[in-house]
Amino acid sequence: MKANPLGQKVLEILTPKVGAIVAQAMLEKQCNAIGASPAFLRKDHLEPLAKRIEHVLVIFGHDGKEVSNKIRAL
Amino acid sequence: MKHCKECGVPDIIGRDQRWSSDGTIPITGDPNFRMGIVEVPVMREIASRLEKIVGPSIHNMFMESKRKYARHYIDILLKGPLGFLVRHTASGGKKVYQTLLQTSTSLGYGHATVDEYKRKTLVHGTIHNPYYTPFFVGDVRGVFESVERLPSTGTWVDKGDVATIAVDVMAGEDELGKRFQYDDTLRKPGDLKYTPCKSCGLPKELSRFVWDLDKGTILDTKANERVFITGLNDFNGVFMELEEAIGDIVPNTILEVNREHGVKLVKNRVVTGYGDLVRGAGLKGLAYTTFQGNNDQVKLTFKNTFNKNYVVGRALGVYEGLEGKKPEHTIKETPGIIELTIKGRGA
Repeated sequence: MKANPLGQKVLEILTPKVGAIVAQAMLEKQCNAIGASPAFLRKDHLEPLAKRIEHVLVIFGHDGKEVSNKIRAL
Repeated sequence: MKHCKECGVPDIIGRDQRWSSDGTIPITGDPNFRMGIVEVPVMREIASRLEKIVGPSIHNMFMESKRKYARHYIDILLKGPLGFLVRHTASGGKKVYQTLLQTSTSLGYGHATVDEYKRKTLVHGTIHNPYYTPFFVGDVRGVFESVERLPSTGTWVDKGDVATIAVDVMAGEDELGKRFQYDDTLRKPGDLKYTPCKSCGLPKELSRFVWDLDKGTILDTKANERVFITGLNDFNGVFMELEEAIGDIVPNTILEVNREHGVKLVKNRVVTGYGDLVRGAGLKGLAYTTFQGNNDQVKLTFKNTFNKNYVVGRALGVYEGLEGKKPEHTIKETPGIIELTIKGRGA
């Protein structure tokens, strides 16, 4: 599913960290988990989305907080 | 290391594991801790395909998951006075690691030696014929954390059939200390029966596995492939976290690798009917399986499966190999039970 402009911005933050395939899959999975979708992502989704991404990014060896703060700031 | 004169299985395997009638292999000290026999090529292929998607961090994930369950396993082995001695006497140290690493040779992990040890600081070593190096580093971290009661870090360098490993005390916060935990305690009863070895009492069917304790390998002579014995939640810890992070790519990969392996097993005449699949899954501790079939479809019921996609993928591959048709399948799930119905595509 193609991400809307806000979703694209989240992908731009995630891609350098985990690569394009994982970034796309992660955005879709985490959007689903909060009842949203990349195509219809809204500003009010960003806080719960950032929280979830922070949690899952740790297993990839990244500082989840740094990324989640960037997402919150969008 | 002593082994049964009749079936060749090392004594330590029967001492620490029990082949249960419900298709599981619990360790003797903790009935909820499941072991299983896993094919090395399947393990490596899953890791390799996930690496292509996730990147090299997949290997760290397997190491992290393994260290957790290895620590638990060693905690059980070192219960009581033995644990006190190991942890509180000066003579413990390097010898303890050497003894515990010897145990790992009987599980098919390779042949390891301790090169350097400093109490509560580090353990560095070398492993020949590692089954999968990140998993082995996880094992050593688990031993270190159980013996020293301190969190650790782990690194390794693979050089062909040899790898050097370094486990050191962790300096900062253990951020992954509470991750990769998969607890599955639900068990359904089964009525699997094994013919016991006259000498050691373990299932006679285990004689198809040949232990080379010098190399630290176990060969499944029926399939002509290397296997190892491991805690099954070592895998599930990684699969669960990854699925939570990136969704269906992970279960689909596990299913696909196992489907392909199932086809190969039939092609090589390791599996010649569904009965082989049923008995094999039980003997390897992967599931309790029953089978019903007619001309149109095959129905397999799995209880106590350690991983749905692993066993379903394997069954689909076996179907494809035996029937010569691409499979179409449906799954009905209730707690602890997976009912898989397979028929030929377009049938």
